[in-house]
Amino acid sequence: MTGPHADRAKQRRIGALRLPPALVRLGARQIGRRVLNPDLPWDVQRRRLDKLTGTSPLPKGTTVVERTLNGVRADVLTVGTARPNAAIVHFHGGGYCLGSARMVRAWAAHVSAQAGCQVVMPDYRLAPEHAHPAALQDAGAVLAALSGEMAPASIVVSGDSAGGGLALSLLLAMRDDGRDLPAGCVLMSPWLDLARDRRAVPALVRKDVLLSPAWLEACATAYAGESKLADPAVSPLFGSPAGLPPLLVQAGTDELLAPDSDELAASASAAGVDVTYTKWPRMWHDFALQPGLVAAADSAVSQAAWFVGKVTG
Amino acid sequence: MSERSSYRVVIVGAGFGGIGMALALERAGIDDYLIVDGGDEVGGTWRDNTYPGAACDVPANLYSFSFSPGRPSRRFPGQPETLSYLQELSAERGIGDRIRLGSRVASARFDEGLARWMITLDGGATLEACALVSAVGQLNRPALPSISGRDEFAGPSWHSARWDHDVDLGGKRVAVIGTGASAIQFVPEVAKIAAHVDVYQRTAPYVLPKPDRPYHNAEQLIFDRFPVVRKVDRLRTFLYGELLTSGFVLSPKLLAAPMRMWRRQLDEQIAELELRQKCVPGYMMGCKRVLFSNDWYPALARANVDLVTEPVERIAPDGVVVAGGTLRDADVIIYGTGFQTLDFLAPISVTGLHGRTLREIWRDGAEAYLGITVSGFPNFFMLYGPNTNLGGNSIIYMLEGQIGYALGAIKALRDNGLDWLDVRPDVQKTFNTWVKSASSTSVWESGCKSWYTTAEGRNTNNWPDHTFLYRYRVRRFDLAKYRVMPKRPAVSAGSR
Repeated sequence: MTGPHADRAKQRRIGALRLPPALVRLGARQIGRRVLNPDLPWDVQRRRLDKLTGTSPLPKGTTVVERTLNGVRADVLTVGTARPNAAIVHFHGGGYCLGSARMVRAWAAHVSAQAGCQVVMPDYRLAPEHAHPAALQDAGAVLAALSGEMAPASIVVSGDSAGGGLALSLLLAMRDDGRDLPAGCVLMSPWLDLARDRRAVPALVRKDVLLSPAWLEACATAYAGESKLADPAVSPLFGSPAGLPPLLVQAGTDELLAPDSDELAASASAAGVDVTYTKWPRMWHDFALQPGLVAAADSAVSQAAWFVGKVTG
Repeated sequence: MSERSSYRVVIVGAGFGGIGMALALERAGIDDYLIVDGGDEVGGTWRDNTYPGAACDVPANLYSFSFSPGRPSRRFPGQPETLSYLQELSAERGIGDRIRLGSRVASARFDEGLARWMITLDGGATLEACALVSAVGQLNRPALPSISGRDEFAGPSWHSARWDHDVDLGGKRVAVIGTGASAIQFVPEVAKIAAHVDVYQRTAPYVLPKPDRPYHNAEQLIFDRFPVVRKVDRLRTFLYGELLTSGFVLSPKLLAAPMRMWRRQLDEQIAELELRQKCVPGYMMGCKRVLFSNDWYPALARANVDLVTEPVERIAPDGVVVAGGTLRDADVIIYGTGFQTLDFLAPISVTGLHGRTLREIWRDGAEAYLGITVSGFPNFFMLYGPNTNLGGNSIIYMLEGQIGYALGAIKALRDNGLDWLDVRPDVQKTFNTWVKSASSTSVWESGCKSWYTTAEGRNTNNWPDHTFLYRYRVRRFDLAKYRVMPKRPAVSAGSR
């Protein structure tokens, strides 16, 4: 199953590129305007986003191997000597319509280095070509394939933005099917409620440099397809969180999606789930994906690594 | 006195920390708080320590709140003056009705469902609070030595922090156990009236000159007219403290000047060679608390004072038996043996998330994040907690930093609509890894036994760096270092 080529990422020293948050925020704003723009066709948005990704420096000794897991293409990233029998499965963001596994390599590499395990990043099928439940099926297929290789108790599922929603939907589905659940779940700036009117909180609309209500609506409609937006399989915030494994939720205060994290933390805790929620003041959507560049992201990554270590023992 | 039992903030302790916290809350417009204290008046350590000669060893221009410097009569005012500074401050700002005296806290437990601290007082009454601030200090519970026969002593005996003013020491033979910060202050006073004083010393302290003197009227006028002059004196004293601290944390070489000052004072004040040798400490300056006094060595040199360096074997009904079996008669024994410093907050039982207690998690030595928060204990803030004591500077300066930080956290709870916040375990661990490595090169872990370290020699009490760097670290409350719980949909209503 191992892919034919293994590429060794450029070996660069990390930590040398730390930028002032205000500067990175400006960059994020540009992505928000020029890429995540609902007036642009999907293929233009995808092309522009792809051009921007894969540019961040990776830690020394990063290896990325391509694999196909139950028919789903995935990048498997390791740094140094990772435990072979533990893995993080990370679903990338992009509103279910954009993005790729390459986009989250920097985050994956830093977490892998600190937590000492491999990170599997599936390229699940994207909307609007493949509407719900295609992405969820792919996610389930990857988990099923990995569960054959290692104990579910040594797998942590994670996701950022739409990937966070996908990860939580996957957990809810697995729980409902009575399957063995992963050891824990890391959600970064997760998009959990596709039905919510994001214009209702103008302060957040103003603060968010990356996302706009219109773009989120376009993505939501494209992804949901025939399904209702409030269907718990599409908007996992509407599912009951009872019985979920430990959750780590990370969000910035300056993002449109912050209420999703707030509500998940509150409802999961009320349902008896062990939830660790940390909110970064003045941070934007998906800031955690820029480790090495932003101090807050380094802090988020070390918390994620701590969490992975804790739940996989 | 209000009859309510539910508050936004409950503060334990009405000393410098508790009063400072209350004043900060008042300034921030938060008046829903209560201070509880077991004593019968405000003042904390300055209320408890009434022994003759009790005084602060930091000049009052620095040992006072920055926002209210007071009007000290001398550089190092005595205990009554410091106590009335604190009491007048609390009366002046009208916080007296928010202090419940005579109520000792027995236990505090965090109720996860309600997201509130349940505080049980001695006697069974219960208080509720969103946030709990511990301002109990590090030096409040007297430590008595475990010397056999201590209870069999026939005459009166007491610890210096529980001074028995009813006993007239005039003409008595007094035994003083200990030569720490309290003993060096009361021994010179006791020696003036007692017939004879035996001072039992285990390790000699470094005693530096204390540049104490009353302020002239002219100086007071200048201080009053030009408050900036007092600020300048405050800064000067602070910088001298930082210089001492440099010696403790950077290199003992920087202590060359204080070492010369100590040596000169010793040589000048004690002529007898044998006594002088007994007064030379066998460890590096700063490893144990450095003391300041002008009359300690002259007191030891008095004809009616003996410095006994033989180990104490036991206490007999009529005196102290030293190694070798010699009985030294005593009518009164005074213990200047310091305080129980390593189990912070004991005897209050503090229970956090998942029923875990502070005592359990601190079994191998206390640790916290910035000395203020402990992972697993949400909305709980300590003033003068682990690793925030100083060897060379004013604790009020540290307290003000901690008070500002705790206030920032209490505001963050409201501003972010949170039930609770709890420091991240990974953040606390990283911080304490730094504390350990910084301490390992400090003078406190240079191989003496002191109240700063655990039995294994680990520094759990002192801040292992310059004081201003502590203030830099606590300059603002950073929510990102915390695990938070947003307000939950009315779970509390039904659960009670």
